[in-house]
Amino acid sequence: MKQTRLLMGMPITVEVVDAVAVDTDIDEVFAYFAYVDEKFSTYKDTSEISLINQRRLALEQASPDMQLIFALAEQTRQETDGYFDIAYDGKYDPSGIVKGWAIHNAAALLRDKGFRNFYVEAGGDIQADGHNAHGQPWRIGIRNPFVFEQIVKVLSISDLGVATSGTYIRGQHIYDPRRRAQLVTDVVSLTVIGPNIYEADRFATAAFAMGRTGIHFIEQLDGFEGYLIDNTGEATLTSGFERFTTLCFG
Amino acid sequence: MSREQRSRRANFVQLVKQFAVSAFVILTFAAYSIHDRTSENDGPVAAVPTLSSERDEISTQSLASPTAIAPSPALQSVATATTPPTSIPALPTVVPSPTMPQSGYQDGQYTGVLADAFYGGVQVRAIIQDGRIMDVQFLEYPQDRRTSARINSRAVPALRREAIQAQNAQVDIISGATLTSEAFIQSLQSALDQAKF
Repeated sequence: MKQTRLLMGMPITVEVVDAVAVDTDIDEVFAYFAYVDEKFSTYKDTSEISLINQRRLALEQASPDMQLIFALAEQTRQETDGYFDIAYDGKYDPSGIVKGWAIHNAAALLRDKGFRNFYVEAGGDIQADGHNAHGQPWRIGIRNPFVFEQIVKVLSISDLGVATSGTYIRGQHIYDPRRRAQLVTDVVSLTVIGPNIYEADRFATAAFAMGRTGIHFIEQLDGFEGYLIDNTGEATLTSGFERFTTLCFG
Repeated sequence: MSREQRSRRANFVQLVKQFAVSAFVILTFAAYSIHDRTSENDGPVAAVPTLSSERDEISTQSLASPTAIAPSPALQSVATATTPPTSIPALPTVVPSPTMPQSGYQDGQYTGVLADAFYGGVQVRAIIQDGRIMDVQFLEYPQDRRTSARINSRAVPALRREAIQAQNAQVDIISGATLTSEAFIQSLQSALDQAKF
């Protein structure tokens, strides 16, 4: 059972392989994303994050989820030496942490219902549990940042999160938060495999902002692997990355 | 300050730094050990019910315990912060009610407009099955980067490098940077408008 919907400004796909899954199970997952979108969308004037940015709501008065996201963002900022920062120009944009967190929670929701074989994908970031419809680990392709319809790597993933940060198109930029005006241009794509999508996503975002050294940051994180593609089309792999590129059946 | 004073001061600063780093490592390790023993089942990363499986541990530990600055040992080397992270108490569960509008799309394939993204065109096709979006395919996408791969001379030691290569394999899911360009949304929306009853 597989469904895609357009939420949070991107296609979100949920596939549950377990036979017992019904439509309403997946509906609940999308309802959760809709809830997150309502609360955290910086494009919606009435969202809670917009109220905070308009100084109409103090963080102390904000919802538990909002306070949690700010705490997680602060923790990530410290753990990444300031490379991850949701504050920009006096405003907050927590989208760099909200997406992974939301996918993580959506997956937990499915697990809570007893499902073991599924994936949740939002805008190219994935939590993949158990196995695919053929009883094998999920096969995840890394998109070629230069040729959109191509993939350049195939990963076998089970019970892990996979996130890719990057800039494929002009007009979509990631800034190094420590040097405000500095655009990250050397690196075009950084894929991170982590113990879950929340962890993979936040460290992928931070490591991407570090430029070429980002892959070394991932290398020294226990339980994380990374694949960095630079602007010349060359990839750098962390030492354990290829463990996931060998296909294992059964 | 004389040179001697400066160097004495530098020595002192060095000593303090060494002490601080040692104390930090020891304290972190102690906190982690205690935390590791005492907490098994915390879960406030999620707004949805209990996250207790092993894979959730990394994200939940540090929030649940005010003592742990960086519970994952691998993170210690990057945790240069001297102030403890914001720690907040366990939070109540917020479960949204399923209020998603049902789609009401008609089965078929719908091609969206070729939207101008000033650096090229974006055009998508939406595949609707059983009234739902099954797939979104890209028919047109700007290719503004060169595809030639050459090995960069600035070698990063220890880590393996390779030229990227297109793969022909079938995959279940694709990981890539988020597509949030307006042109993409515009084309997809126009495809979905056609699919509506």
